[in-house]
Amino acid sequence: MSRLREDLERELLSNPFKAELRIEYARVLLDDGDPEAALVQFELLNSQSSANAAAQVGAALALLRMGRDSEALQRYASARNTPGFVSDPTLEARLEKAKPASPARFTIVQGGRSEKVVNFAPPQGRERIGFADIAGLEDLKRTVRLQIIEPFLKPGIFAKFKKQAGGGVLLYGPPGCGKTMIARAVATECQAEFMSIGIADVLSMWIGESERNLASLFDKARHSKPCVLFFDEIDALAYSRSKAQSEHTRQVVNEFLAQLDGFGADNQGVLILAATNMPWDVDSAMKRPGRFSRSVFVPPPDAEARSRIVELKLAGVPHENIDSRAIGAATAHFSGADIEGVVELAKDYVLEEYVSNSSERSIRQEDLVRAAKEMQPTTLDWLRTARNLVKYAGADASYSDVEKYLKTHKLV
Amino acid sequence: MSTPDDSGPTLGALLQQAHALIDRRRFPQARQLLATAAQSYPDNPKVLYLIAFIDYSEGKLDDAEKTVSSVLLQDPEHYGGRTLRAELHEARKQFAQAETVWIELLRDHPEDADLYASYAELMMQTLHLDKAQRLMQEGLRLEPNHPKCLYIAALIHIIQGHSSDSENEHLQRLLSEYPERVQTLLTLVVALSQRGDNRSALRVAQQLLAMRPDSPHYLTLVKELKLQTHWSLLPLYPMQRWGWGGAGVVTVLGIGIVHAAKSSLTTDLASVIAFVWLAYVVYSWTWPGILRRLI
Repeated sequence: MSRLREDLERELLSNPFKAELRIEYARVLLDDGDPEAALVQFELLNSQSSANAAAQVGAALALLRMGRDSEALQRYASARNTPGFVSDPTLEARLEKAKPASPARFTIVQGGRSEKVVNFAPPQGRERIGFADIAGLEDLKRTVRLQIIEPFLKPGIFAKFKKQAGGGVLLYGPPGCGKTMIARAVATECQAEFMSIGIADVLSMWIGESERNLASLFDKARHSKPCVLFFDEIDALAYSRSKAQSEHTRQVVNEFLAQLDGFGADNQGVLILAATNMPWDVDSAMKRPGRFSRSVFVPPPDAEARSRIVELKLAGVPHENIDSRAIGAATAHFSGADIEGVVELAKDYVLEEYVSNSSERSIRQEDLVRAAKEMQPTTLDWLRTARNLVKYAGADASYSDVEKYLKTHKLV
Repeated sequence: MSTPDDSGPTLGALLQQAHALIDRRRFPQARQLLATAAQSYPDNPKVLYLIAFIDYSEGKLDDAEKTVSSVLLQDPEHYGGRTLRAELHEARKQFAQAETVWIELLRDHPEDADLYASYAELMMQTLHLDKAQRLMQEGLRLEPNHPKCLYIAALIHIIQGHSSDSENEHLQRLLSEYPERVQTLLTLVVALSQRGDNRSALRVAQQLLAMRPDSPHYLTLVKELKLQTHWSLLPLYPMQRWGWGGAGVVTVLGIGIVHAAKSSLTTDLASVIAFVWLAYVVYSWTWPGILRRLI
């Protein structure tokens, strides 16, 4: 048997991308009693292609041999939706035995503690934001409505057409372009409570209590139905395990995956959203069916949105003869935060003049034009990185919207 | 080393969070956190070391050097501080000083496979391959599956010009134990490229770039391999595969063909062959450069 293993290793070295060969190798490892190594190989295949049913079933079998039964059954259950799925009698029998899925999973993880480990209070003092409050971005709003809001509000019609509606949605794009605002607006449009978990909450999860914290978080979401559970900067929580140096980072991702899978069994009325500036840092396992299988690109605001942002930022500030459309046109690729910076800089010009000449005046068009010329859009770095991914790294279909954006704006 | 009371819960928690942020390459946030910690613990070597590490990771070598000096002033035996000092020497190409630090560290920690790997990496950089190999043998004796030892050992195997990479047991072990690690993929790129299989090397390099699309190093690697595998460079295969040796053979062959054509074919046909040869020479000199700009 070990000779066969060595032969396969040698063949894989010559042809590292042959999926059948790697599956065979992983199965040999499993038969040799090395489920950990087999799992690594199955996971590698899964990261190369999310629709590999054999690799997913293999991973479930490896998890079962490692004694991680519940994870194995969750993985097997999600593999069933993958094309080319072939059932495994051992796992089928286990799955049958496990029914009905216990909704008390989170209580067990909490170790019988009745109090919540972390109290995630809803944000205070913030008015609800709807799509009407977001300037421009009509295409994005349409996409979000079709991909997120309608499946949440009317799951029946999507089920009838066999359209995938479950699982979380990942919002990604350059910083300062309104991903968090879109998530808040989604909560309003869905008439649901909004629970936001930011980097500070995530940081506290790293101090030895991550499992309990995550469990209590999902538990709270379940009790606040209808609810939008939003993970800001998801890459901090679900950082790619292949890049992580520390075992602890990998453990946090494993726990998060387990919680997401467990939650998937009973998620009616809860919508899970996540946002990231660095989608390439998010663990690839997060993007599998049932987790964050759908992703939406949030681009920098379009010209119309930019001119509306200028108008909003100038509201209540002395200004005269401002052509916001011209400013919108002159600020290509600027994020919402960048435009705010332009207006602030224009204010500085006026105040500087006042301090030196004691002559008071309003903000004029030329102040804004000068400020726009002086500032560089912060999104360009992100767009350049995305271009590397799309143009050179052979990015998968999840980046097709970015590719479209880059092509439209002649950045690729 | 810091005193036990330094590691009180607040500082401990802050350091743990900073470590987690550094692991996720969120350097600005980690720096902010450590600045808060430094207000309460200004001379704590653990805090200072992490600040120095961030400076080093961001390429601020002077700042890192200053902070490492402070770390070693507080705690001359600080392991992280000493390794970072060696790495700083390497980054500044002060190889002799770096070697001294690695040797001192190995004297104090003779069973640390990581140190053997780091020292061997330095020896590999300075082309002391035999010494690097012996260091790796010792490192792998201490920890047979140590990823950095396997990585260095696999690279030494390739650099020494062993033609068959199926004999490279270190690379095989890297591929079976750590198939997704950056170091494994990098070694695979080198091995595939050396074998002349640039197409597979390109696919692996693309995987690396997908992991770190902001890395100029991986971007250059992918661009170079794209260039090597471009269809329009197919006529230059002998030069790409065998370098100057290939170029010499092609030149001699070309001149020979032109001479043979002149003596045995009609003038017109010989002129055509000479023209084709001249065009090939011009193309081989100019086209790769033009294509590099286009890619």
